Amino acid sequence: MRANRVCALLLVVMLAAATLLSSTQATAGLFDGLFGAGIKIVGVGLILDRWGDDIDNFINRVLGQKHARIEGKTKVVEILRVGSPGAAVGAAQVMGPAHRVDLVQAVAEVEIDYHALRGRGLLPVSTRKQITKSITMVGGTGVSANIKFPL
Amino acid sequence: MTGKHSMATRLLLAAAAAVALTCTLSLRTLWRQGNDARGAWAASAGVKVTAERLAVEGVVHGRVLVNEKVVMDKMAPVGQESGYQRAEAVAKQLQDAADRNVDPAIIKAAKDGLQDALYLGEAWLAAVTPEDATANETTTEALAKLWAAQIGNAFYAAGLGGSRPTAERPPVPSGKVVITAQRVPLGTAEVADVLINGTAVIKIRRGQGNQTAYQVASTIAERLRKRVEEGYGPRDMRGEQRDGQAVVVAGEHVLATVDQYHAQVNNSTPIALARTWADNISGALSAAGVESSIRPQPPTGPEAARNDAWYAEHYRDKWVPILSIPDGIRVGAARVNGAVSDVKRVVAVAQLETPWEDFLEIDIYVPISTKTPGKFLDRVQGVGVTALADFNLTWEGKPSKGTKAWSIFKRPKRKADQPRFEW
Repeated sequence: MRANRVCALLLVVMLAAATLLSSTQATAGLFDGLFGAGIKIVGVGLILDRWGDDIDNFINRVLGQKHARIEGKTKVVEILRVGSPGAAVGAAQVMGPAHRVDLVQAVAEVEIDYHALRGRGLLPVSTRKQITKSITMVGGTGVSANIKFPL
Repeated sequence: MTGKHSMATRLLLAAAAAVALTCTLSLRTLWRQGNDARGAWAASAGVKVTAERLAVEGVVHGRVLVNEKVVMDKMAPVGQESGYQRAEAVAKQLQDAADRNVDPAIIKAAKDGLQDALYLGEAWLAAVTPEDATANETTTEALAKLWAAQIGNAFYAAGLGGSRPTAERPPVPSGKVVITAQRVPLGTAEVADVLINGTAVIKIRRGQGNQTAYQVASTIAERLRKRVEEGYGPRDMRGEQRDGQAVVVAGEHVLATVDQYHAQVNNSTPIALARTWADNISGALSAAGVESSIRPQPPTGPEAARNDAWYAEHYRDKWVPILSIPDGIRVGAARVNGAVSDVKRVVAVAQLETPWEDFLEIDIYVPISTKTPGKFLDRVQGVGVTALADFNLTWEGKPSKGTKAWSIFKRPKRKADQPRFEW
């Protein structure tokens, strides 16, 4: 279990480092552009498939410290953001009744910024494939936390 | 020169050793005197062990009290012997032990063959029967440990010598919830706690009307026990206003009323204290593995995902104010989604938004039932965020001369050289 957490942490650090490196012109390379975005999306997906439960438990522990613990079913899934601040990929914790949360496979986020105004939609969806087609939202569920890496 | 220093050092060391020895001996003498005085006080003050008759559902039960503190409650009848007679027998033995100034730590729970029992050292004290356990809503093993701990603690509190018995709470069987009321001495006043599996969730500091604090706590415990048996769980416990009074409710049923006195003592308001008590109950029930079974259950199996009518009836959206910190201050509105009864309680959403440099964004959404969160967030369970629209109230740096007023709200532009993937 400890080894798993260390591996998960290392992968997250690697992704963060990759994003940091790609944000500086001097180190443009592997993690830039479409190829780099693809690596991040696949990397986050792999991390969540393997260590999603550990990340979920970690978030719940952090929230519990402020008496904001979630008592219903929670699950960590991939989140993909599109919109004016730029695309981003990461992990989102969804919550709600157990039988509905089980249906959620990903969260689609759309954000539009205009000066100081911001609009954001967070849609828990039942399949990853439908993000780019007709989106089927899972009713009764919502997002309680998310962490994202800009692409 | 070296010899002089060496001699001075030796003298100093000798003096320090003498002082240390004197202090040690003095402290030891004081400690012994303290123990003697403590034993003498115990002998003079005495320990009064009594038995009381108790009626449980029309059956005579008994209980044992040490200096008016209940240490063995709801002793059930065994054969021809009533619960009160059993309590009397135990009280007599305990009184003898107290007169002999026994060490409280020798009172232990152990197995007598297949039966759980209490022992005074090696001497058998009392059996803990399944009827006792049923009356106290626990198991015989847990009850034996509870009674042993309560007797030991009462003896120790009464001034009997020896070591303090283990204050460890008796284990509660998995899936079992024990809800009780307990007197707690607090100075000269009588205070009573409502306990869930040994955890205090409500503290009653004074009685109401003709009832003492303990009686009020007992009433609350009884109401709560009934609701939990009916299937109410952590999500059904709420603090709210009803008819101008702050109350703790389980579903639609009132468990307790919070008055101004209790709010002031807790440096709070009645409604805030009601919510705190409701949260305490929810937390303790969650820890005990209790889940609500009151709500109508959704369809299960393959049909569940397609039964839109059911979900349309039981889930809804609502727009509420949102406040985002600490990455600047943003205000706006958020759409929350969840069960109808939960969504009704949401009055705002607190968003904790923390970008880390330019390569990590963390957002935490907490739907809350108050617009003025205190030290802790009053989270509404079962509700998540599905959309938001907000407005940034902060700016970075001072506005330059001639800057239009509205531009102080203008969001700082992203650096031109910062690469961005265009979707």
